[in-house]
Amino acid sequence: MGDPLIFIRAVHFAATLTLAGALIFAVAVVGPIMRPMERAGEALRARLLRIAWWSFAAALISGVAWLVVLAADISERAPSEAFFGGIVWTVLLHTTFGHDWLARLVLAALLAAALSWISPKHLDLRRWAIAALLASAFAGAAVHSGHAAATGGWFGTFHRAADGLHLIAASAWLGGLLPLALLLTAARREEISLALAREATLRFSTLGLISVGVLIATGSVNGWILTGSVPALIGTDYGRLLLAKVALVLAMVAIAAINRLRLTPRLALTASSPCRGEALLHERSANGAPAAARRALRALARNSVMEAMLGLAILVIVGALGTTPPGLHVLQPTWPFAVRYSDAAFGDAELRGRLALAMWAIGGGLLCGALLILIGAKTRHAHPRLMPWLIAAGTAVAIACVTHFAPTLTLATVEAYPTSFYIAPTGYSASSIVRGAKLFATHCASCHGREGRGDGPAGRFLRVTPSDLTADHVYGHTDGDLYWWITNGIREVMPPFAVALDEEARWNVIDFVRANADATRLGRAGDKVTNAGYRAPDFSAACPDGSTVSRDRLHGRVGHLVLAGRGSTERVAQLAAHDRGVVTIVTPVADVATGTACRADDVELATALAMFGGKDVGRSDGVEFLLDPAGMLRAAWSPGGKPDWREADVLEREIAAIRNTPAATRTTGSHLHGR
Amino acid sequence: MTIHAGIRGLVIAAALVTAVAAYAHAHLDRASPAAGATLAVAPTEVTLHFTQRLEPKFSTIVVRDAGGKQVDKGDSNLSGEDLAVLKVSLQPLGSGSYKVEWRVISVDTHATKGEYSFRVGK
Repeated sequence: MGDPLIFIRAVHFAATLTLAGALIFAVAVVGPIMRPMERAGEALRARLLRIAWWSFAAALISGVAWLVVLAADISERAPSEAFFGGIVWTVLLHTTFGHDWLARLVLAALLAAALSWISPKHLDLRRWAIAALLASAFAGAAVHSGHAAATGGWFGTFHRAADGLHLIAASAWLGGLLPLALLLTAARREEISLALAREATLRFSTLGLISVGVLIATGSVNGWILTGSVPALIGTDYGRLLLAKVALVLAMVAIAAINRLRLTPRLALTASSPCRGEALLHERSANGAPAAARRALRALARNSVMEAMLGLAILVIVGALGTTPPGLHVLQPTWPFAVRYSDAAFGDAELRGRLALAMWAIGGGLLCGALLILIGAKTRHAHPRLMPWLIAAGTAVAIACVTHFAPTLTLATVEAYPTSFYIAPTGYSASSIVRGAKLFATHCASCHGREGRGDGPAGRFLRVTPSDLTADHVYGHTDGDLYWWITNGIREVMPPFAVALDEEARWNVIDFVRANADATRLGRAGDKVTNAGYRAPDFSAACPDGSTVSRDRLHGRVGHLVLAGRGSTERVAQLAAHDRGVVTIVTPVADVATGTACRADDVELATALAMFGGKDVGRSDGVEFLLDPAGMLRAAWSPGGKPDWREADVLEREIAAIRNTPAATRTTGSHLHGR
Repeated sequence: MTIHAGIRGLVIAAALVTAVAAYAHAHLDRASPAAGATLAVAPTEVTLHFTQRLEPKFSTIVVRDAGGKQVDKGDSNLSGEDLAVLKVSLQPLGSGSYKVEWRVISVDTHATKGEYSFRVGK
């Protein structure tokens, strides 16, 4: 939290929002109703203009400070050095952020001209409108200084558009609060009539309502883009800051609702009740406002200031959010609950039925209860005796349904740990799998068996048989679950390995366990194309045309991985003779002429592939794999296997089968996340 | 059944990780030579693919041998249509272990750095 950028960002946002907000307030809220205000109107305009100029100055100063501190940060130098050493200019002229700042500087110059063109003496709404538009653009253009700047392609344009709208909507609401408080104070001083104050408050709350709608829509879009999942939302600093921000916004909305629904109508008391008795008469002030209306005015002004304070707190959070890595990119979100959702139960017909019944019953019960309560409330005048009974019955129905059926919902949950949603930082690379295999042999094989089948020699003496790590249940656990058990052990069943294996080593072991289970299944599928789809180890291969391909970047093509063995040079030449729209990748390449194929010069990849193919590297005729465009291993073949891939039309058929049927997506187990 | 699927879909959407294609804060997506790889043939360049666009003026790769001597040619440059691929060419490498140190600034102004090693020869 000590980062000065957080506060500079907060100040800059507060200044730009106030600037745009004051001008929008002048145009959209008080502009059209200003004519009857006369002298008071002039005073109000002068105040609004003053707010605009001061916040403009604050925006400029904080903008420059932002630039200097940022230049210092990214060049890892002191701010003074960055400023005088010319790094500020490099940032300004050669970075996306700098270009955005230059564009905003131009906007600022235009805005300064537009502001000096405004004279508070005359009511000229056109000039205010031009300034308001420029100020909105100035505020909205700050999108390039946040995370949205980095989202690529059309999606990035969409993200930035949403972000820009978010900033302008925030200006209209947050930035209008200070002007509103000023206007209400003027009404209390009786410089402005109560009717005008009421009109302005109503207009502002309509503007606020529109803003809140836009803020929620664009905020949800941005929030989801930058967190992307529930664990990232509740398990990372970024997500939690975002939740705190949402809570503050809700508090602001609640205050706004009180203003609109309770306080504003009270301002109308003068109009609707000119005389409510002697007691009120002598309480009246010069402009005819009864005491209730004056109290409402005071409460409204106080609430506006309170809202503005909450808004300021929100902007500090916004400042912090911009300097915090988005939840999406945090590989290790901390899961705070003891259970997590699991869709395993939906795979069983009976459990699925029970879950559906519970959901219907809870939904129906709540609906029934709400209906009964609503009927009671609606008919309270016609049947006053009936009302309590209806409300009691409604509440009882709702409570009964929820308490009776809620426990069933736990069927759709499984035990979870703080690390359940950790994502392996190893990327399932070939070298990680190979390292994991060695570690597994040293630390795990004595109990779990050399091939992970739970049949190790030491395991026989244990009370609980070691788990078969090639069985189906392995796919029901996340990488993070396995990480928890390896780190902390399982009570009375497995010792912890936090000391014996460092963090990376634990992930290596997990990658091996996944690869081992997948390899077992791929072997069971024989030489047939499987629809299960087993994630290939990550690799990087250089192609003759200068491009590189990897597991995740096959560019929509099927991959043909050749683990070289005896006779692979001829085989590769044979494959090259037919252009099948397939990327051929050969590894290892030391003794093989690869011709037009891509080369993966990586001993570990060969070792990992040998594991998937069930062969020893270098001692065989080689193994070939077909990868679908998503990087999933779909078929393995070695010379002598049926069908014979050496026949061009046979291989063609296999490739077509893979291209036409994507692998079934697995929703549990490893690799929940794309990266 | 469709309602079932709907409910289930909603619950999954709410509770599970979805792969929204978003970026921000550049992370190393993949590297060539790969982290921890053992290469039979010495590479002539190091290519790092990041998860987002980078600032060319402030993004560099330095490759050092086991003794800490810089063995790249100091010509880090960006390529790729999305300016997310950082390359540096290497002097001829002998057998041994090498360390790749990178520090990049993403277009949203955030710095990220990291390092990894690879080996040449057995």
